[in-house]
Amino acid sequence: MSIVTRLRKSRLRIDGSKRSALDMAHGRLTLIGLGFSLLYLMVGARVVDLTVLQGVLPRLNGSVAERTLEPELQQMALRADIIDRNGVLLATSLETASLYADPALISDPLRVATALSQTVPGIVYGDTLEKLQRKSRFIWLKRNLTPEEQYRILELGEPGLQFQTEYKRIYPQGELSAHMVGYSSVDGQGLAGVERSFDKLLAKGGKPLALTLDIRLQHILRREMGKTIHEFNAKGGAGIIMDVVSGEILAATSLPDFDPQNPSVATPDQLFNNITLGVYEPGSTMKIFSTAALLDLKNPSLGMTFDTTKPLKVGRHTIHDYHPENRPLTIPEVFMHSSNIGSALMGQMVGTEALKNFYSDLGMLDPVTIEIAEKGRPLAPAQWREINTLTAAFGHGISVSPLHIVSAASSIVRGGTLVKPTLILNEAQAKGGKNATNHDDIRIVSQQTSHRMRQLMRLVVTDGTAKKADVPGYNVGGKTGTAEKIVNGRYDRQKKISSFLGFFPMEAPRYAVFIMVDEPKGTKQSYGYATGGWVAAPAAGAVISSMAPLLGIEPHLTDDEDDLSFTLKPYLHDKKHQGGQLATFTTE
Amino acid sequence: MKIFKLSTLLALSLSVASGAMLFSTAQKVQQTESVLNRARSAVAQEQQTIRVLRAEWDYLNRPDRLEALVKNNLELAPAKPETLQPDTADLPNVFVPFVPARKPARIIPEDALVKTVPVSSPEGELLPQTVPLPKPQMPEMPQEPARDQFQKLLNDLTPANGGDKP
Repeated sequence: MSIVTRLRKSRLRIDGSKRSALDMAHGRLTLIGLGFSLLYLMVGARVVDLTVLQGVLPRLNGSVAERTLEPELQQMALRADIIDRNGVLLATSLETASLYADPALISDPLRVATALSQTVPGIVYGDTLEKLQRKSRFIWLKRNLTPEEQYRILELGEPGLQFQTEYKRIYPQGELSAHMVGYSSVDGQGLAGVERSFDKLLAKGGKPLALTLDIRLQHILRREMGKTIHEFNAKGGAGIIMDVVSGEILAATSLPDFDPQNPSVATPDQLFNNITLGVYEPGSTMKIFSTAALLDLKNPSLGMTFDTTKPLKVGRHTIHDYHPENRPLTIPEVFMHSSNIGSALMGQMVGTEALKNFYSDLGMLDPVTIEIAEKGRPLAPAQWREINTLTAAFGHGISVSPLHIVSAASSIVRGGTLVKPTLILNEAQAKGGKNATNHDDIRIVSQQTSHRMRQLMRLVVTDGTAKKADVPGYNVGGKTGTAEKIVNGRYDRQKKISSFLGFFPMEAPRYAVFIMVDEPKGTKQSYGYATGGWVAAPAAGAVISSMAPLLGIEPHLTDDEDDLSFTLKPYLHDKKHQGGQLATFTTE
Repeated sequence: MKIFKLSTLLALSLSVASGAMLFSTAQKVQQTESVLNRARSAVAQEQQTIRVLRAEWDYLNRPDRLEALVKNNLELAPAKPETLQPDTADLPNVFVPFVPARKPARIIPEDALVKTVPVSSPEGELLPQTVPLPKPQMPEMPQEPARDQFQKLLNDLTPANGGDKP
């Protein structure tokens, strides 16, 4: 057998014996090939999905790419700004670095403490040294550094000193709107004012929260009040400017005030909100409501007279006028001279139940509705007896907050429908929309009563106790109030709360200006008087003459015959009793 | 031999090519992402700067500060009710216009001189009457030290004048 034949035979034999194995291998390879091509198909399909279906098509459709969510998430961490009605920042959050130490990484606490106390103001050597020796791994050394301080600490090159990014609340306007905007803690938690009541919303971040305040009016109000408080050496005060039509509070200031940047150094007096939290016996400004109640419920003629010749005795109490007119007074005269006896008699005519209901309708017996949490509950007698009705008619024996007075009187002069004060700007409305939150559907007094009250309040400024509040051309109207403070359960004649509530222009009231001064002392210029007409009325006049040109309100000079109060003149008997009239109430 | 079949080569080159493409795409994505991140952090930084500047702007524009600055440096006073005039017609006629309005002089074409004038036409129409205009008067500007000081301050603050020492 030749070798070739053998080979051929062997090959044939191999062919024969391994045939099935080769077939099997071939089959497997096909299977693997199929498997791989399936995988490649899947990869291909995924590529098409990612590039075309998810990548190109949405872009062609113009829908937003998913990545854009991220910057918004970053923004979320920042507490939202608070701005005034013109967009001026009242509160904003800025990124700052805060210094903390990891004592485990500090080898030489003495050296680090020395270096820190030398370079960074506000870091005390001993305190820092004590902190750096603790066992803890995290100790705050100073929060919210300035960039310069951070740079200096970085220069020290100490590995144990580290920074954490934090957000600091900044109040660019300082004290100006401290009580309304409020303040927040170092951890960014709202502790007072809008910062507190809108804490959750502000913490979410996003769009700034716009308030109804106007920082320019706020400044005017604070400036004039500051002057008055200084001039009359007073303890403090409260001031409000409100839009009578919409109920928007344009300015509200409580003095003394504090720097919201640093509330920890403020005294309780400074932190106290006189505008909404403090409740005071308003004195004669309350006569607006008792007179309105009488005019609306009993519809008397204006010539109706009240005998004020002798003090009114009810039980143990005697009500008398400080400068008695000693003659019967007509309704306009009672209002103009601010006669306590006359107003008490009016209250008596209205009746206990009716007067109480009237006050309650005006919201004088409940905390005022406003978007901050610091609200005082009015102090009214638990049981109304007749004497309570008489004193409540001229503003004693009942305590309300200044904002109560402003909003209730606004409801009366704006046409007789209830207005609720608000501090948050409704932006849809601000863009020229109709005022939606203040429906004109809760009527307190009739249109006619409202008109009569406007006339009476104008009369107080033209002929009565508030002549110093007049600004020619703006037809200011209003009512003064002087109340004695209760010290140890007795009215103290030396300690007064003098106030003035004014509206302008009186023929169609748009703005309310309220000024209250706590414990003013008479000066030589005021002939020793510290009453509402001498203290608060001039300040309100100054505020109005500053704010009206700012708001672009045209003055309209009118003749005496065209003045709103002219039709009331026939009801005035004697013109010699004009000027600063003191109205007081004493208990015996 | 059999390994280098055409189909094998084709598949191999395709896979290499797609692998290379995938790699380059992945690299591009990474690069673009890093560019995007840098841009994003720059935007965040810029936003932060804007916030700081806005806060500073409103801090510097506090009404009491502006009031003090205006009082010391400008001759402006707050508007008073008396100074408001609802109608321009009510304004007193004391302001002499800086440049008095002047009628353009009528140019008489040369040939007009030889033009025959109808007898009926009035004499005056040919030559314009020259009416003497009031002498232009400059409104007197107040010259007081405060104004000079303010001008000087302005000059000092302009870097081009060599002032402005931070």
